[in-house]
Amino acid sequence: MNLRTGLVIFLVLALATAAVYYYGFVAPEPEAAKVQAPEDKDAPEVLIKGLSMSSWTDGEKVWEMEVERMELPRFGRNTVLYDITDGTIFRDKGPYLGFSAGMAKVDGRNRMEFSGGVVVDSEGKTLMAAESMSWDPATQKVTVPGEAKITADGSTVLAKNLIVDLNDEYIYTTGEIIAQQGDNIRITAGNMKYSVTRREMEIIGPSKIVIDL
Amino acid sequence: MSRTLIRLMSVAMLAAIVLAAGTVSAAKQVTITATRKLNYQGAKGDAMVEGNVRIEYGSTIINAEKVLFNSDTKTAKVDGGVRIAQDNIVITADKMDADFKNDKVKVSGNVKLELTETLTEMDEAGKPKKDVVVLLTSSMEIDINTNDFKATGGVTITKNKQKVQAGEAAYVDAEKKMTLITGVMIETEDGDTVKSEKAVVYTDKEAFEAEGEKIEINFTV
Repeated sequence: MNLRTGLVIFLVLALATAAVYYYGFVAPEPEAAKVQAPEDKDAPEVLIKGLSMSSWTDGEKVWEMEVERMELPRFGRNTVLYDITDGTIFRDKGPYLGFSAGMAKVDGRNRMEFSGGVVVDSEGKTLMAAESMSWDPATQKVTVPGEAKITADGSTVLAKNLIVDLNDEYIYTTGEIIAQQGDNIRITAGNMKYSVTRREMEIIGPSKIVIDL
Repeated sequence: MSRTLIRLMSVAMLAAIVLAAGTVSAAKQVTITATRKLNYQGAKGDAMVEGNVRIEYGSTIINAEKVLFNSDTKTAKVDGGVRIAQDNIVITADKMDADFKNDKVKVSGNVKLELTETLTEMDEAGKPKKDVVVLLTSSMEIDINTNDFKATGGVTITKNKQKVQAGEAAYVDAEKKMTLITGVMIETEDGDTVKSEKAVVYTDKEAFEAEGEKIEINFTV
């Protein structure tokens, strides 16, 4: 073997060894490149399915609810709850109001914005239905920015811009209301103040009552 | 079946439907409006309305500053002055109790009724004369369906320059007839007086009738 032949054999072996090393150890496997999923920027950081939640203050339960799904988003601080059922607000160590909603966003101060068909009930009977509602446990105020339907004592009240003060047990509205008592009495007015405990409605400003005899 | 017969039957059926619809009377409504305040207790049915209160019931319009209405009994109560207008009658009083179910209104305290009547007699221009009968009493009950009323507790009626006083008065609107009883005294324009147990005043005529066993007439010659 002359020098030239030996040099060629050496180069071929060196290239073959380098190729084996590259494809065997350095180059990524074709299957692995295919399996890697693209990053889902909308995916929550934490997802919890099926849970019971409750809140306590000074040893007393304030509220509880069943939640189908809870998401802690990757960005932002609002926790999102889906399919809320069997919600209960407690007062004097007993159930006070029940609630359910399609969705709720909870901010860092535990304020909740409910949406997707909110229903508030009292003693098993629907008290209020609205498309959206916010609840601040600190101030004990419920705000309904859109239209709400309140049902109590055989009366139905359709109202807009409604605030429920759970401390004073008053319902305030600043938009026009239409109240129907049974089939015979209709009241249209604005600026209503309704006492839940006294079952009394006060309207400041113009009002109209129509009674079918 | 001929086409004419079918047409006649169709017309008959249509007429029956129209007649049936005509017999269904429209439901009566009371409409209350106010400008200042409404306080409604749904459980009791009480509604206190304040500020330029107006109650509309058929052709009756009631105005007051404050009205307590009960939606269960369909009654209204006024304590601080009321004005009731219906057709050709206007009544003002201190208090009112209205029962809309039975078409009855009771008024009391400084009751004044003004009844504007179109007379059968004509004026110089050939138009029917109009007369205003003013009745003052302390208590009165009105049927708001018929416009009939009964006044008790002393009645004073002024018609043109005639003045009539009596214990009670009853008015029947269909007959335009007011019957006065108990201590009736009629004073004419000239100062003549007629005393009787009973008198009848026709609101659409310039005449009155005195009745009873004892009629006392005093006139100046």
